Amino acid sequence: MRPISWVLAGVTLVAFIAMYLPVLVVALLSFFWVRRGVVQWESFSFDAFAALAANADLTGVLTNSILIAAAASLLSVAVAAILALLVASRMPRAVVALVEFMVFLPFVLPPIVTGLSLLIAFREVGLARGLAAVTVGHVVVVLAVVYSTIINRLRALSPTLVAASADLGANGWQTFRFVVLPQMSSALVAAGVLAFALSLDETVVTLFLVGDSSTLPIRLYSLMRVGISAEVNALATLVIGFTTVVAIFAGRALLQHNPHEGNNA
Amino acid sequence: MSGRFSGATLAKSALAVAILGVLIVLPLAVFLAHSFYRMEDREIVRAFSFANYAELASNPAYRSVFVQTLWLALQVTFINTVVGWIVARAMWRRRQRLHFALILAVAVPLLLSYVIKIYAVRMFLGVNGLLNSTLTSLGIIDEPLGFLLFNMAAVRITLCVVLLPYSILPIFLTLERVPSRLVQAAEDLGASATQVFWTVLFPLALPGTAMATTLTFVFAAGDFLIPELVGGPNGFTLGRLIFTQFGLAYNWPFGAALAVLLVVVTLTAVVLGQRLAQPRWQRQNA
Amino acid sequence: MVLRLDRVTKVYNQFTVLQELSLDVRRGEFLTILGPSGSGKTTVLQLIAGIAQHTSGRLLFNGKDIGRLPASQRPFNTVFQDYALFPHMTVADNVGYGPRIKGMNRRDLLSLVEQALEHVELGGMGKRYPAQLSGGQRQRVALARALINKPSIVLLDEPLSALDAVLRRQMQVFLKAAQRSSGVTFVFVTHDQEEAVAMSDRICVMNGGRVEQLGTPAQIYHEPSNRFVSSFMGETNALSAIVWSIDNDRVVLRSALGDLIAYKRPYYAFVPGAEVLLNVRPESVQLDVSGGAPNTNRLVAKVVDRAFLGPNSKLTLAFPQAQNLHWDVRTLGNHELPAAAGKAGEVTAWFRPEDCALVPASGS
Repeated sequence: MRPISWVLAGVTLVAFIAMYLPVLVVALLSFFWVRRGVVQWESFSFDAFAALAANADLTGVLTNSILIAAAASLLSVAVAAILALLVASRMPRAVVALVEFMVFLPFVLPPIVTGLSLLIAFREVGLARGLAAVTVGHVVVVLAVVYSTIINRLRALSPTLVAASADLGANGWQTFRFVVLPQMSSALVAAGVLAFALSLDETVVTLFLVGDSSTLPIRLYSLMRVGISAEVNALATLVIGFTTVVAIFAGRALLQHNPHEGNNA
Repeated sequence: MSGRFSGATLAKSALAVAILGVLIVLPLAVFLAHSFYRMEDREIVRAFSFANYAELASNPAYRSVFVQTLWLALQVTFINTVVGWIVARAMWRRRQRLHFALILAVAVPLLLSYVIKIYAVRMFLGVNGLLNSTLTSLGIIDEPLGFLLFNMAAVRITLCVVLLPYSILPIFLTLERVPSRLVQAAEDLGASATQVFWTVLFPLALPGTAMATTLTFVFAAGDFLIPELVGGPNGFTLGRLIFTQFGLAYNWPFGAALAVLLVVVTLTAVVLGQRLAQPRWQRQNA
Repeated sequence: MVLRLDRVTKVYNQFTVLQELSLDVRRGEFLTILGPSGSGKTTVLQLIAGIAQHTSGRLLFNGKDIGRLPASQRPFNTVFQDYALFPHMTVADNVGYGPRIKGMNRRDLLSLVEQALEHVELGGMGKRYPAQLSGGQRQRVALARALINKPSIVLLDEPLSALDAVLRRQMQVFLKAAQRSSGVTFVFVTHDQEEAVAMSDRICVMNGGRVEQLGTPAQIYHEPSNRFVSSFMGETNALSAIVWSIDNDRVVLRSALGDLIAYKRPYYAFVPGAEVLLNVRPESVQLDVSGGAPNTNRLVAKVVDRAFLGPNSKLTLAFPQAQNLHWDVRTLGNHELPAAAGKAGEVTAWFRPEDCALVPASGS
């Protein structure tokens, strides 16, 4: 290999190390003690996880997160589906451009701007900070991703399908119910899952809107501000493990789904 | 398209615009309006003035934070785009199995909880962190390196590490979409590997590069969690400044004005990125 | 000869794509590799270009083995099936790519590119992007991009398959003229036998990773060496027969339609008793209109179908002696039938002994 190739391979290696080593260290530290830079292998224990489990407060926080994620994903899918169906139903081009510009604004703007604008607006209309406010905030944040997932599917749907259905005597509702909806159902599910995952991890907007309540990322954030503890390590390890497993399964499903998608297009 | 629309079309358009108007545009408008208000005795005074913007422009402390933030974001964007390209190029054209594993290897850190990533990097860099302990115990250094955490360098490193997947993935995905025929054609016409890269791969993956740089820049310029958690007293950025106006400092109107500044920076970056993502040859096709 | 493939084998995913294939390419010729999809014809092209690597065998260019040289160092250029024009470069930049890569200075490059574009009748189009061109224009850009490097061989991978019928004819003429005027060796891959016959100096018919026959278009068309070639090269009427006797210049055959005679050709290696397939092209079958037909190879048949095809008509014949056997006959115009047909549509058809070809009945 030429020297330049070595440099490039080295950079690649360092990049992967940088992405993984800190996370692996956290996982390691939730099982072992480290003294003066040396991992004490004999110190292996689940103590940190036990301490975490004993912390009843975390269960409540996790429940909050899941409730918000569920509500936000349902709401965002509903709103995005309505928008996508409206957009797909032969709206003037200028209106489509305007709608898409608005949908993508919160995606493009830094989350801090979305967060504080919602904070200000909610106070103007008298919506108190708390889980409801956070839910609406999450809907706004994930709407762009959910919308684009659904509209892409609708646009991939052949217009001749709708024409064929009408030709065979179906009215507008029947065409929607028997032709359009079955075709977009998998996109709705995918969008919902995506929204759920994004909501579960949303931190910045939540921080502005959560008030005295808390969600999992907010609790992690406040624990971190206090310092580093074995409990936090344990919690982080669980989240890391969960994310990895979900990513692998989602990746598998996506890969297996792809050839089918190709047929649809 | 005809100039006249039916009532139904009009109603549908109005509905779509109304939903988004309430959900997205209205809060932003209220926020924009607040940037022209001011605080008096911990009360917001709803009187229109440019006082906040005048303060922004005249106070050198804010100017330096602004410049510092832009510089930070540019550095992170540059480093990560270069590294992202190198990694994406190394990942490019691998066998099917490895291909999936590599995408997964980038996707997992991308999907991982943002706060946990910061936490992990902070722990790694800290005075009691693993890097210092290891270096000390190996005898490479005598004292833990204090400069690794709670300063601008720590913010830079953490941003780079946390945002790296956002550079690698878009570049890699556009790189994968470059038809292998074009690479074959270039080789057939006598191009070396380096020439293939600069004449074919790089220009054709520009949209992905634009996406990567825009994402990274916008994120780095607007983030406040990372400076908040690893920046210490010196790692002050625009995002952090905004956040304090909504917390300790409690000056929402001024915070809103700062945020407007951030919005301007962000939208500029997005527009520039769009231009880069749509090079001349693509615009002419349309 | 400029290029020789010497017992080249290509195994891909444990599947033998090419089996000990040998082929000579002559300097300055228009050689077409013709075959159905999966015959390995494109693989041959890719091996020559260096896009794919052969498993064993040798690739000799002017006597030197170039089999392990990377594509960028071989003196060949390819015109790809989908043209593979760089979408982000103008036409001029596409055409000038090769010389620019090799470091030609800007001024020389400009004039060279302008010349190359004139040559393919695209003068003044240099500033456009490939997406703004028609299929035929893209095709010519791809050709100019290859020719500008003055390659020893231009390799063309089904370049006309994406074009419509009319444009295709035009491009056939254009490509042939471009080859003549440049004097460069062309190796052209196609699955279209008409295209192959119309353009080539020689045709190499491939099937299942092997060369079935190599020869001039006339040889391939009139003197197929086996069943595959005779059936692949256009329409043919086939009839199973047995070699009865061999005279000096004549082969007597016994078949379901009676005794037939074919002229002996130098490459016929049949012995009496051999099972063969007699092939007569539809245009070689004549109808006995005036009753003056020779006595040999006369067949009494019934017209069971006719189709008017414009310049000629196709009659389908059935034979009382052989059920399920149908032959097609081409007749000029649409008027010949009433005079030729006797009662109940019966006709007498015949063919000349020199207008038929024999191939072994077994084998491919």
